[in-house]
Amino acid sequence: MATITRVLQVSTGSLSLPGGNIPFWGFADALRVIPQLPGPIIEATAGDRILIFLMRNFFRPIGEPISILFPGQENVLVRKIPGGPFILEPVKPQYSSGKIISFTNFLDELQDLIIEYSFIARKAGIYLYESGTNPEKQIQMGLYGIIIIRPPGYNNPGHPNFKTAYGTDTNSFFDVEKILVLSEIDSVMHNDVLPNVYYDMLKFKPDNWVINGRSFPDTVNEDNNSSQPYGSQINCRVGQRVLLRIVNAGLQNHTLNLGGFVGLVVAEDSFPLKTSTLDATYEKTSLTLGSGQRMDIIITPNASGEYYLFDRGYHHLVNNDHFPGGMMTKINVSS
Amino acid sequence: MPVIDLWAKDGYLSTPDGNSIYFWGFSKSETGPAQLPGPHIVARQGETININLYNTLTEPVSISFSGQSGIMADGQPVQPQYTDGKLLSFFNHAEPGGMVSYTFTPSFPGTFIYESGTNPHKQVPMGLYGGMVVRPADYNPDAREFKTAYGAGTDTEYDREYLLITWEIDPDMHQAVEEGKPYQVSKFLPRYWTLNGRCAPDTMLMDGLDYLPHQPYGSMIMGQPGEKILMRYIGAGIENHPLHPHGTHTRVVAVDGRLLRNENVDLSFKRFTVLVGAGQTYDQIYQWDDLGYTTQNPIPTILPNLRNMGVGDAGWTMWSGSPYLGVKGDIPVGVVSYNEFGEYYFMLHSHEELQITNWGEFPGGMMTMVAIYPSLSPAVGILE
Amino acid sequence: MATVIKRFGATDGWVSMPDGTDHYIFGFVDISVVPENQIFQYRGKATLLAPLLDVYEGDEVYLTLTNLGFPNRPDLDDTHTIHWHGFPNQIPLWDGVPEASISVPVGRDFTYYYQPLDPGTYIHHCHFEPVEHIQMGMVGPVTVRPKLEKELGLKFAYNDENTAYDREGLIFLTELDPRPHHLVANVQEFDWTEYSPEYWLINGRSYPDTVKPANDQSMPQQPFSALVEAYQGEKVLLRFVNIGFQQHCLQIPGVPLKVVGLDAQQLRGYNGEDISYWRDVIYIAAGQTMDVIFTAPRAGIYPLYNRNLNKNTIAGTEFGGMVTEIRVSPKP
Repeated sequence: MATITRVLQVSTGSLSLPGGNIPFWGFADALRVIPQLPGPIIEATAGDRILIFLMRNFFRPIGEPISILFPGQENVLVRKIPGGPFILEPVKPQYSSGKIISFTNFLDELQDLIIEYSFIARKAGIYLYESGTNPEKQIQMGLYGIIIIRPPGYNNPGHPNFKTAYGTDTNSFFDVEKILVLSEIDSVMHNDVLPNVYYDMLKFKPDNWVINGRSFPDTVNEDNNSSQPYGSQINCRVGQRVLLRIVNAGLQNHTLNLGGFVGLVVAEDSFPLKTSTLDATYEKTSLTLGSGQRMDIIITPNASGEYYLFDRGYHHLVNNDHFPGGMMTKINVSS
Repeated sequence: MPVIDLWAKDGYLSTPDGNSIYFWGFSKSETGPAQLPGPHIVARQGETININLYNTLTEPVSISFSGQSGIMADGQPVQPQYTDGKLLSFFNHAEPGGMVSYTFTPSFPGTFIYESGTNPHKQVPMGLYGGMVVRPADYNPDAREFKTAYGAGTDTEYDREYLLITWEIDPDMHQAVEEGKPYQVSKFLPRYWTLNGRCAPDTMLMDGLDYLPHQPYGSMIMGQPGEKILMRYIGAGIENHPLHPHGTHTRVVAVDGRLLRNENVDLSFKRFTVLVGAGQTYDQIYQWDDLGYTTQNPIPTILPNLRNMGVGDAGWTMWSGSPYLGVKGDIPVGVVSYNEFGEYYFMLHSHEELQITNWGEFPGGMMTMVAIYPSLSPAVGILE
Repeated sequence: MATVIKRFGATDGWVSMPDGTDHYIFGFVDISVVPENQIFQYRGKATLLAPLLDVYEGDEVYLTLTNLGFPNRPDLDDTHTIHWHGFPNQIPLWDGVPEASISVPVGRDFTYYYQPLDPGTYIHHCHFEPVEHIQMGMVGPVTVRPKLEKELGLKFAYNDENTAYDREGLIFLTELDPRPHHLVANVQEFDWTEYSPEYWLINGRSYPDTVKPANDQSMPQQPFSALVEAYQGEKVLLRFVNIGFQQHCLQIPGVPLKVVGLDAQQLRGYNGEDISYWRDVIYIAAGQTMDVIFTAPRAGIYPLYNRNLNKNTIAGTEFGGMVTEIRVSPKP
């Protein structure tokens, strides 16, 4: 079992949206200049230890305490340099005056240089990592990212788990994989947020609807080195098994229509539906995901052409109130 | 090959509080009224159908058939449509004054939505949607074993069936479209919520009323004790709605027109509230079994003097005055009872309770009743 | 099988939020053991949540509703009902829908009778003008315990040993929009289509009040704690209820959740298949209940909160709202 080590920095940056550029807070790999939305994808194999060193960016700090929470992971450990604890100990919520101020241990701007989180990637699946400190503000500002945990043997042709999301006999074999991280952005909030000042979330009113941090038509552009590096166009051939890994990182619920295709739901919240005792996979044409939920879906296009995968909450298919835009991307099926 | 004509046109829908709201809808014919929801399409598994869309509106209109494959438009596979490189429609559309002809062969039985695939942020909230039911290939309403939602042997037999389509109305949007003014969908704020295009109490009226020419479908669910009542829910709005039937649970047997069953493994489940997701469908069996009380086997509590009780506080009551099915009791003077046969009524409504109002006034909105009759004609609860 | 005799009074009262604000409510108060000549002392003492109705499968339940009136709104003579939300095969007389049977005027009594046969987590609430009476607070929990508990002397959610648990907690979700509460207190009307809550509650309280003990002296009309305590390794049953007007997404990071029941039905297929499932997030709509079992992990404190993070606020002024804590102690 390997140890996957990542150094993540948190800094302020700029997002390009149809209405113009707005500030955001994002994660970045240590050597990267600008932060990104979503944060860098972290990939590991079930059984690996994941070590994440979190630092603030000294040139463009966000100006508040930062932390990472790992929903879906158990027994996460933490230590801090130089503030301590010095040896890894279980994460715990942080209190002030008897009330939670952070869901997990955080990096204190004044006292700490590095906070280290560590856990065993216990089971295959797709997970969020996200801020655990002022999360209503920091997650909306952009502090979320994806962890993919592969089953052992995933990379070995001939291994029964080869190119499966959850291992052999889980009906999760795929030819093409696409991660689709759903969220919404409130541009007014992004412009108004101040560090260490409570933001009135009753005013939360998103006006941008994004997949992988981009709104349509930017969603169909290729991956690049911008602050929104991940495209979401799906390119495949007729008959291929396309695994859509849909993650709702937003604060609201979203309903994706699978471009008219019937999808096979193979896992929810990274629990495979087909087990040794029961095949509970089922088919859907649209899926509603609650905030924080994940679904793995296989579609198998049977005809070439262009298809659109879109938020069935049609009012989210706009940029500046004009269709087309928002939470939508394209599936290109070639013969 | 069955041929269905749908004409996209405009009209005015009525709400019980006296409002008249401009909308876009599908009509069965050139001269018929636009209707909300669009005409029910009833197809058969494996049988090719042809749907001709005639567009009398001022912008292009298309129809998407989620869950169907191999859809052809004017003889070619459907494709997204662009204007100046910008996406206009998810599928081939009919230009204003024009038409497009769709053909496909449903390969699975079930309940589906059909809806506009052009400017859907506007056209679907304006009313361009309807329900489609695909009968299983072996469907035969005259043989119990073959009167099923998903085919013989799938445990989806039913006695009666009903289609309930949810939707919501923001009158400001409809008015802006009527007046040709820009509308910001970000300001979408519904004031009415509908079942089959009507707000309560109109939902409980019968089908095809002269004074609701654009809203032909009622939503009263009627059946007998012990019957299997198939309820097909479709979410046509852009919001999710939790529908809660009183009386008993429903068993959800299929979602999005797909049976919840893998070979011999049954995945159906019972719920007392089903969240009807936007663009999604839910087929359920509602079976109300009597608790067994009759005048010979009386209830274990004493019925109080009804003059001391609240009866008909809403101005009307849907209670007969008796605890027993099929029996009419005495109700206080001045209360109007509608229970001609001593039938029972169970409310079915959205549990986001603000949605059972008409612009804030209860009762209204996304609410109807399930009526259990001591005996009921087999001609009731047929979907055509 | 026992005979359970209960009496709930319908009346009004006030609840407090952590920001020091007080809000007018309608609600129920348990007067089961109050002598008849003293019941009027309970006017104005409605609680949020309404009293728990906690019974066994097969019990015969006689629940009398007494309308005590609203001392803070003597002009308002609303009738009330009790609707046992989700009771299978109910008859209209006991279903509590005023339009489909009867309701209880001020000063009157009515006795509902139930013999629940299906264990699980239910809700009771008033169904008179439900948008108003539910939002005003006339909502409470119902648990029906399975026969198997009595047979084996252990705790189960359903009649299945796979649903065994050691401890249980209630996670009963509602929202509070202060505007209608204020308007109703001041004899004015509210346009319900403008509903926009500012407080999100578990068991009638907003965090940090959620973790205060039950029957805390500071909140006499909010007696239900939402603090969940367990020893490491114990099985904990959480009964999730949503009787607000919104959908909610609850999570406990680091704790996988096994959903064993929905809407007071064990998750079993048509042929008895075990279709219980695991989740990291509990997505629950208005009018639904879910029975969830988890194994208490290593000792520590685990926050339970709404992943619709904008709802974890106290009227937009500070962190709070739909949040509580799971406190796990080392094995004794």
